[in-house]
Amino acid sequence: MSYIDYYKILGVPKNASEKDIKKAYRKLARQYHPDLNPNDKEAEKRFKEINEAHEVLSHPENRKKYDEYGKDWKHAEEFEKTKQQQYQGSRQQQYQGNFGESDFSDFFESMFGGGSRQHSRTMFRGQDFNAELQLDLKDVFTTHKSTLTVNNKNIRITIPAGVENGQIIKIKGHGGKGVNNGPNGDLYIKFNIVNNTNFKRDKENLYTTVNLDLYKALLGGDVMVDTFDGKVKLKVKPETQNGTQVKLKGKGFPIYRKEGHFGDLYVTYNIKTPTNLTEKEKNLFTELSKLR
Amino acid sequence: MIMERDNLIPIQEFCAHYQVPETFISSLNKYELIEIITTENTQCISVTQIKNIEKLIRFHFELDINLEGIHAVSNLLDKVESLQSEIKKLHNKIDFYENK
Repeated sequence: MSYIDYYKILGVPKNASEKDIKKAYRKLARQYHPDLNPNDKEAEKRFKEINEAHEVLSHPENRKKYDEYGKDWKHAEEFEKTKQQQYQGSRQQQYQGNFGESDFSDFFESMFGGGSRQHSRTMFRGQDFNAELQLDLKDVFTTHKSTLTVNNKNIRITIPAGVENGQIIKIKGHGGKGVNNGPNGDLYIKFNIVNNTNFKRDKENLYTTVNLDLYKALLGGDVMVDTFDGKVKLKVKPETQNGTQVKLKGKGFPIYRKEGHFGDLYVTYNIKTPTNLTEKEKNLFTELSKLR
Repeated sequence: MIMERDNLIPIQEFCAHYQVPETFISSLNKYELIEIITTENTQCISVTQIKNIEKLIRFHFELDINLEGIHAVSNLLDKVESLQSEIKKLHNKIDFYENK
């Protein structure tokens, strides 16, 4: 844990007035506020620093303590004990919605503890939580229930079949607790789906390649094809060309939130020509070639 | 009083709760940033809009952005989010073709 120069973060001199601090904070907040930078982790990180600096420098008591003990924060605890009960500063509306305990630095916690930011009069929703869940493609072929541990709480969720890689679902009310009786935040779960199968997935459709020997491609016949949930027998037409694609209707992936509806499976034939021909085979092929 | 049946909150109550003037909510409606629903002669907002309105309150009261600015920012944020979603889809497509 190291010293944090809050003045430097806000870009103001040590003798800056409250007005200058507020102005600097607002200017930086307009640049880095998470509401204005959706899904930007860097901006969020920067904003947390700015918010923390503002939290300290905009309250005279906190600022005084920081100025006196900032560089020597390890001795601040004694100061804190004597001043703790005097702190009654009211707080203007601040961005709290998405912040939890861990959003203030260790340095801040050491100097001011967790309680110094509990003075808001305004009700706010609790913070939204974000979690990531890694699943295999096979896991999302069927709807199933799963238990997640978020902030030491077990939450049982239903994962609908057909969920997409990168898709985010919201579990209402399972985020942080609301401030001053405000509603709880929501839990956002991002799905990272790993595909270890031989199928390529594009939304609800699946794609696969099946090898065909030359004779089956020329003369036709049956071939067993792996689908996602078993094998099917497929009729190969005579004179099938390499790269021919056939569609197996309804043999694809489940369609998200449409129970019992499936996409299609596209099978591409890859024709393997024979190798290591015997003399007899070579002669027969030569003869065949003369017929064309 | 929350009208459970329709999930509507009277604006007066919402404003008292969030300590914002009612004119602010009317202005947001004027800029088509939120929708006001009138039921039994009471102007209400839907609970589904709360999260968005909280954000707009922060824009105005915390970040000092005026209503014209909020209007512009909201439109741009919609575009950012739509582009981010498009990028995600394209990434999935690229993965599909690169692993083919």
